[in-house]
Amino acid sequence: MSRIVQPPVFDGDEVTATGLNNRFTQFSQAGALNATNLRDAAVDLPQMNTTSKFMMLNSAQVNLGTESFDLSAPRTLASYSGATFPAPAPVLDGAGVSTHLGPLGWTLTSGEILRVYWNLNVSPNGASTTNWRVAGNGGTVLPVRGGGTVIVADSGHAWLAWLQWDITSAALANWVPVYGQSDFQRNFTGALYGEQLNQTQATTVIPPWLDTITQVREGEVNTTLDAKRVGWRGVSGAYYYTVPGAPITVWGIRVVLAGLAHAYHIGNVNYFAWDPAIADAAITLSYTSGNLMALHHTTG
Amino acid sequence: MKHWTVNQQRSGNTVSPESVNDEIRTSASSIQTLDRAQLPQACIDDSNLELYALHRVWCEPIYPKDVVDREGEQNNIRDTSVKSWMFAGLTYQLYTSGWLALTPYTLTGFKGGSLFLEWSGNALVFPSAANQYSNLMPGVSKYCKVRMSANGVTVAERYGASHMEHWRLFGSVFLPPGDLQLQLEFQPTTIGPDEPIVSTAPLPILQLHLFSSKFFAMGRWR
Amino acid sequence: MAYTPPQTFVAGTPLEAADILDNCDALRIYLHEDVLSSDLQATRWVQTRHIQPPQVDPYSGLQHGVTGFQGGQMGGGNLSRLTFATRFLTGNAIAGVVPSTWQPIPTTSFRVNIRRSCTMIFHYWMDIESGPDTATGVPYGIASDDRIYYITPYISNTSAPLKVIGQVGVNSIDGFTATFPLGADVQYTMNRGWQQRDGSYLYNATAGTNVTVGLCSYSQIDRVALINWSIALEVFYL
Repeated sequence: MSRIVQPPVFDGDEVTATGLNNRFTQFSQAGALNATNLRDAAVDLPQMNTTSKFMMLNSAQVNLGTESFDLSAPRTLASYSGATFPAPAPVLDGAGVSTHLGPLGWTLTSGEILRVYWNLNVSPNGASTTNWRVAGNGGTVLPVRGGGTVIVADSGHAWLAWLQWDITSAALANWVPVYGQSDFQRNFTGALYGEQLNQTQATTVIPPWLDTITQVREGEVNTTLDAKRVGWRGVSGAYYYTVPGAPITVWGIRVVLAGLAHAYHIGNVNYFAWDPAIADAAITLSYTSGNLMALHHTTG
Repeated sequence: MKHWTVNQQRSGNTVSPESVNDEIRTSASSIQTLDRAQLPQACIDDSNLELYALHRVWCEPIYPKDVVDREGEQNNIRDTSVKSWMFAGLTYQLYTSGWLALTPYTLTGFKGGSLFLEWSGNALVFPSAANQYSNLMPGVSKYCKVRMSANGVTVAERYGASHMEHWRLFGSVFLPPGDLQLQLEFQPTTIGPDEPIVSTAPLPILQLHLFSSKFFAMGRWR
Repeated sequence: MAYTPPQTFVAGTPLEAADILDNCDALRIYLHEDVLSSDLQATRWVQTRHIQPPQVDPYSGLQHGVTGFQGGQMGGGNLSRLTFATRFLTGNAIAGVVPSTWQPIPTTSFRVNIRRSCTMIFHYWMDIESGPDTATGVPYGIASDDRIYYITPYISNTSAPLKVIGQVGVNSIDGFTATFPLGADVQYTMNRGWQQRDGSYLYNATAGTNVTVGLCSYSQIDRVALINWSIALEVFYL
C-alpha cells in the first residue's frame, strides 16, 4: 500500500462531496496491504498458514533391519571374494524383506534440501582370522626390537554402507546410488574396482577389527599383537542433497552394505578398492536393528 | 493497532474539521500499524514471506571442494609417499601438532538467533601404536578430535573417530546478526615418544585421513 | 473484502452527521476485525521484523518462535558434565530376553510445550566408555564377555523406550591385565568399550501437548560413562 495521503480538512476549506468520499475510500485498497502497513512483531503463530506446511515439506522414518532387540539372531553379510565388485546388499528385516523409505513421491526443487540420517547396530566378525597380516593390502610391516618384523593391521580395511535412492517411480525397482555417491563398481586401475573418495558423500565406513601393538619402544615394536573383535556397536550415516540441477522426485531411500574395501591411492587421488583377497568365511558383518529418516524442507 | 472512537459525530453539532480529521487520522495510524490483533488468522505463508524471513540454510553436501578429485577430503596434509594400498593423507613426517582447519566458510546473511550446525564425515585413524614402552610411559591414544566454531565461538567439539569410522558432530548456539565465519577444525593425536612412523619398506605410515566431509547449518531468527 | 464506505457523499445533498459517523464506524470495525487475507499484497513482502521475535530458554538452550523450536546443549567439551548409564538401575544384569527396566540418562532430555502440530527431530551424539565389568555370581546371569548396553531415545516417559532403534555397545573387558599392576594394558581407544556414535529420531507431536524427549538406557554393565555428549532439537511448526 500505500500510505494514507489525503490531506486533513483545514479551517475555512470548502467541504465537497468528492473530498469527503476520497478521504474514506483511500482506506479501501484490496490486495495492497504490505510492509508499510504492518508494525514490527505483528505476525505471530496464529497468522501463519495452517492449510499446508511451507517449511518442513515432507518427513518420513522407518525402522531398519530386524527390528529386534535380540542380538542372537542377526542378519549376516559375507565378505566378497569375487574378481570385480560386490553387489550392494540392502538392509533386510528378519524375514529377508528390504527395509527402506518409500514409496515417497517427494519432488525436490531449487530452494529445498533433503537430509537423511540413519543408524544400525552391527558386529563385524572374523578378527581372529588375521588375514590382513600381509604387506600391501591390509598390513603395515614394522621392525621388531631385537630383529625381525611383524605385520599389524593398517586400519585401511572397511565394511562400506551407503545410501541408494529410487528417483524413477513408486515401483521402487530402480535403485541407484544417491547423488554424489557411487556403488564402487568402476575398474579404476589394473584389476582393481572401486571409486574415488569424492564419490562417498553418503558413505559410512565400519572398522572390521582392532589390532593392537602391545608395546612400542624407540620406533620398534614387540612381537605380541592383539587382534580384537570390534564388538556390537551402533554405526550411523548422514547425507544432504541440495538440488543442484533440475527438480527430481524421490520415491525411495535405502541403506546398502558391502565389504571389504581398502584404502588406495594413485598420486594424490584417493580411492576405496575392493579387496577380495582378504575374504574369508569367518569375515562377515552381522546387523540387527536401526533407524532411517529423511527430511525435506526449505532453505529460506 | 486498534483504536477507540476519537470523535463521535452527533446530529445538530457544528460540522468542524475535527469531526472528519480526528477519525481519519486515527484510522490512518491504525492501518499503518496493523498488529496481530487486527490481522486475520492463517494469512502468512511462503507466498508473501520474503526469502529468509524466518530461517536460512547453508549446506555444502561435500566440503571442502576447492581441489578437484579431492572434494570432501582434508587437503591440509597429503603425504603421497605412503604405500599404494593406503590413502594419501596425514603422516607424522608432515604433521607435528595443533588444530588443522578446513577452508573457512562464510555463512552470509545470518540475522541473529539460533544457529544449528552439523559436520560429519568418515575418518581413517591408525590406532595401533598407542601403547608406549612397557606401559611405563603414558599411552598416546589415537583419535581425531573435531571442532566447529562460528566467529570464534565454539559450537561443539568431541573426541571423534579412533579407527576407520563415521562420525557426526553437531551443536547449537545463539549468535547476534551478521555474517558468520565458520571454522571446521580437526586435530589428530600428536606423535608419541616411542612409536614407529615408518614401515620396513621404508614408507611413512598413514596416521589420519578425513573424507566424505560435509556440513549443514540452519539459522532460525523467528 | 477491503473496506467499503457505507455512505457516499453527493454534491448538493445535505451533509448529515450520521453519514460521517457511519463511514467512521465502518472503518473502525474493518480495522478491528475485518482485514482479510485477500487484502494483503500477493507478493513476498513480509520481513523478519514483522514477525514476533522468539523466546530463548538459556538453560535448555532452546529458542521457541513461530517456526518452532531449535537449539540444544552439549556436555561442555572434553571431560565435562559426564553422564552415565548403569546396570544398578536397570535390572543388575539379570539374564533375560527383553530388558524391562530403562532409565533416563541424566541431563539428556528436553521438555517442550507444543503450540501447533509439528515435526520434531531429536539429535544426539556421544563419546562412550563402558566397563570393565567382570563381576560374577548370582544374580549376574550374563557372562562378562557378553554384557551389553543400549542407549535409545524415549518420548514422554521411559516406560516406552524406542527399543528397536536403540544403539548397542559392549563391555570393555579386552585389554585389561589380570596380574599386578592391574588395570588397562591397552589404550582405551583400542578397547572395544570405547565407542563414539550419533543418532536422530523423528516424532510428530500434537498441538497442546507437553512432550519430553531424551535418552534412556538399559545396561548390563556397571559403568557406562558418556564422556562427551550433545543433544539438539529441531521442531517445525510450519
